Amino acid sequence: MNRFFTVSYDLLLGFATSIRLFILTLLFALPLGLIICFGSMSKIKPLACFCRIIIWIIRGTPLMLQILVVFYVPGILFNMPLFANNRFLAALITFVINYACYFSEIYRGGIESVPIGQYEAGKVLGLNNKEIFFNIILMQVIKKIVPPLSNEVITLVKDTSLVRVISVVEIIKVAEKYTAKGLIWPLFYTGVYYLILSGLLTVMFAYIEKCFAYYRG
Amino acid sequence: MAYFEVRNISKSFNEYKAVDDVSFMLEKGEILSIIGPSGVGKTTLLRCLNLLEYPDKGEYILNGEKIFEATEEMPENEIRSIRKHFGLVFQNFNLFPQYTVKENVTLAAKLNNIDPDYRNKADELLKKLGLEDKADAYPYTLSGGQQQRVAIARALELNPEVICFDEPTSALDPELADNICKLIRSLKKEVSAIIVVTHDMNFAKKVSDRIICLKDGKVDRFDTVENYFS
Ligand SMILES: Nc1ncnc2c1ncn2[C@@H]1O[C@H](COP(=O)(O)OP(=O)(O)OP(=O)(O)O)[C@@H](O)[C@H]1O
Ligand SMILES: [Mg+2]
Repeated sequence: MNRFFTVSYDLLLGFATSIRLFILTLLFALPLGLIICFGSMSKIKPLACFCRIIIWIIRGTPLMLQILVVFYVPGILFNMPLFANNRFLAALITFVINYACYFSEIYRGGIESVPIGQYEAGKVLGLNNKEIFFNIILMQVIKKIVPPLSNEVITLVKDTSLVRVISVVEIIKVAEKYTAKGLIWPLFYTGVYYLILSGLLTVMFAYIEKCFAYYRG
Repeated sequence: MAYFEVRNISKSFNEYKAVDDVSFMLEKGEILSIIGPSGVGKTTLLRCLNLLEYPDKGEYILNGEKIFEATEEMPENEIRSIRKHFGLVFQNFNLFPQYTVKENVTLAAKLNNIDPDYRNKADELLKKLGLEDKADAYPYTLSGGQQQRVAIARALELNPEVICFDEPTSALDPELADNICKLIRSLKKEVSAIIVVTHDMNFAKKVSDRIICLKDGKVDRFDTVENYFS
């Protein structure tokens, strides 16, 4: 019994790192995604092109590879091992960039899904662009992006486990320590932590979706 | 002197002249129908009036005052103040799905807060259009005809001098087309000039005082309804 509590506590400490990465990633990637989204939809062609290429590269390569690149490349190429003492920061930067690109595509899909007629109806009523965006468009965009956003956020919960490739100690890394000593169940037990967090998020997103369910279209 | 006059409006899309030097005039209280086959520029002409398309050239004169003249560049707020003279009921209505009927009608008045009495005005309009029991309904729960009337109320709420309809009969069955005809004629009391795009000759004959027939973006014929059909 004592063993169980020790393991639970140890795993919880590991999971705290996972959660910290999760929250900080969301905190920075959600707004950064919006900036990348506006960039990719910009009328300034070179800027739009640049953003599209970044999005293509980030979405087209494995997150695992990106983590390794961000962690090792500054040290090897420029002889500046920026992250030698802060592996977590390397992981966080990679996650923020990666998820911002995914979020930007979700935002773009949401914005483009609002028919042009909604903007025009606002214009004909004499509203300016700001009034149109905040009073007419925004809510329709949010309704459209909540479901794909919820998918992406739950994927992020699980993706946090990838940071072990640069030896950031998160929950699975902790469990592995026990497994190496011949104790197998802590490894499976980590699943419970993930399930609780993703369960909470599922409930939360279902609630948000319900807030927008009162209308259609 | 004419109440509303459109002079030499032209609009091209990459060299293609969708509207080509169109002029017409209307007396106060008149209804004008714009007719012609598909693709001759009827919708584009309406959109030019509402400045959803910015005309390449031309001018609008309302009540003796030149309210618009196409220039190279026009600041957004100037365009907006010209738009206030015009209302537009879109072919597919473009109601705001997240707002109730009443909210759809009052949104712009609320944001601009020019008329402190805008709520009562909305109630009156909804009543006049037979929508008083739908005030709190959402657009997706309404029939096509009801949605159209909400769109009309939304346009009237802002007291435009000229109201435009794009194909008001296209989404309705023939019976309802008769109703919308009566309704549009009854709007003569609320607005000073009404412009209706249609390709339904019968409807044009019943609803309008004047008719303009377009051909390849140009005015083919412009006449009173009596002359046109005799
Ligand atoms: N934004 C645009 N870009 C390019 N061409 C356009 C645009 N809008 C309209 N056109 C062209 O202008 C012409 C006139 O179009 P418009 O929609 O005004 O026709 P219409 O008379 O309303 O036809 P319908 O009866 O089918 O509604 C068409 O050839 C159309 O392809
Ligand atoms: Mg048309």
